[in-house]
Amino acid sequence: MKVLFFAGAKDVTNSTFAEVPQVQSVPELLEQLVALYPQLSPILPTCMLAVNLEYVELSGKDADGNEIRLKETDEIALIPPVSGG
Amino acid sequence: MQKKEKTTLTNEEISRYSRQLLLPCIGTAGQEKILKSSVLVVGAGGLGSPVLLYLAAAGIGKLGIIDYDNLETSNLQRQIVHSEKNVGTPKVESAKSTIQNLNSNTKVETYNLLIDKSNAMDIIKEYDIVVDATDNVATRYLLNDASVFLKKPLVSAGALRMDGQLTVYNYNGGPCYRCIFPTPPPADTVTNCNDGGVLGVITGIMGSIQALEVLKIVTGIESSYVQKMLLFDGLTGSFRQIKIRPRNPNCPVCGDHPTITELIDYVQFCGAGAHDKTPNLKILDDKDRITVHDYKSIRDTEQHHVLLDVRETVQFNICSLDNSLHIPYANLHKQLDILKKENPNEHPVYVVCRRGNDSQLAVNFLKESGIENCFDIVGGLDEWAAKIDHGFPTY
Ligand SMILES: [Zn+2]
Repeated sequence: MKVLFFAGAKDVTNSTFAEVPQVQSVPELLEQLVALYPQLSPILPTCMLAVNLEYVELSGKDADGNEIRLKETDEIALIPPVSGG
Repeated sequence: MQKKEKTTLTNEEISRYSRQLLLPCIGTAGQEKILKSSVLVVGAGGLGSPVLLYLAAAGIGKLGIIDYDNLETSNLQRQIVHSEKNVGTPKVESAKSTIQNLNSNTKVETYNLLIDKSNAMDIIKEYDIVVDATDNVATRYLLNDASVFLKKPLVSAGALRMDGQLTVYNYNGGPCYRCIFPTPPPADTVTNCNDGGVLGVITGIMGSIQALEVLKIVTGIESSYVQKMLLFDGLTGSFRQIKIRPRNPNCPVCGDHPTITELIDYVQFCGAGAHDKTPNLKILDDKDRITVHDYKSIRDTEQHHVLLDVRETVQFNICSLDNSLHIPYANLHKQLDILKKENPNEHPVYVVCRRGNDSQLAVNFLKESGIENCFDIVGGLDEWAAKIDHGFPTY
């Protein structure tokens, strides 16, 4: 499955996206990401995650508190805050 | 037929603002609201410049400007509210003079100070809307919390390199900044425009959208970025909208049972100062470092050595010292062979970067890799330019 990197995540990985093996849950996905890009681990807890352009908590819950299940076709985005101005 | 009240706009105002009076979504009623409104712009930099210019042009009644920096030449590439004749003077004064030339009817209040927990509430309470156009994490959390306490909409944007982000926080049931980003990033992972660079057009686009959202809120048009985050990628030209969460009932500031009920120490909370300057680290012992003066005499007396420059390639291409060996810090582990070809254990290796932070990390790495005879040049090339060679470029 495809994870898009934005801003600082793009900078530290030096890529705009990652292909990670299919997983079911957000915590598993984050594990896969750190395995591929260890340099993501310090910024990961400060990032926002979006699945199909919708906010998801890093714990894997959506805004209503429901655990989300990931699908192969989902577009996942890792979005650290941009603080420059 | 409903009887409409006559507009209070003067003839001068009608002709001045006619192009927006003609918009059905603004009209005379909208313009009257714009003229009566007050907006606080925090940061008179890359984002704040277009915000201030467009809001003054549109006729916002009162603009507050907070910034404690003096104008530098390197600001002019993106901070378009300023002009080169004002370099060295306070940014708030420079911005004010531009705005007053543009629209003398706008009342401008300047705050040449660092906004912090001691003054934020008193300043912000005087305004209807807060625009976050700052360049650092600590001020972003401060503005968020103060805006929550004072129930002010916070029109927030950030820009770096070719990327921009924008959200309207704390408005119409939407989240606050902490609902989305509860944890501040570790200080050493924050890239600022000073180091990462930014294209002026990127801050220009994001600041312009901030100004647009302010005008929509003021005139009662629904804001497009409540519970939505705009992500702009200037490299691919893509605008993405992420649907973000509503207000988090468990948020420590805006939640149902807040645990933070007054302003805190944001520099401590973020572990980083309320500015976009890169702190000078001291990682190595003095015995592993030499001054630029000492390095100068090593060069002058032609002592055999390797000068290893670990800056990124874009920086190396701007300027470098003669006979530098260039390996970016990020590639050092992969490209150690290049250094080993220079027989680094037979003569000393001096490591340099822009300011002397990465060079210390590099020295640590080299020592761990068995290259013992290596030293950091304190303060890097900035220090070289300041103390040794005034003709050496700084950026
Ligand atoms: Zn909140």
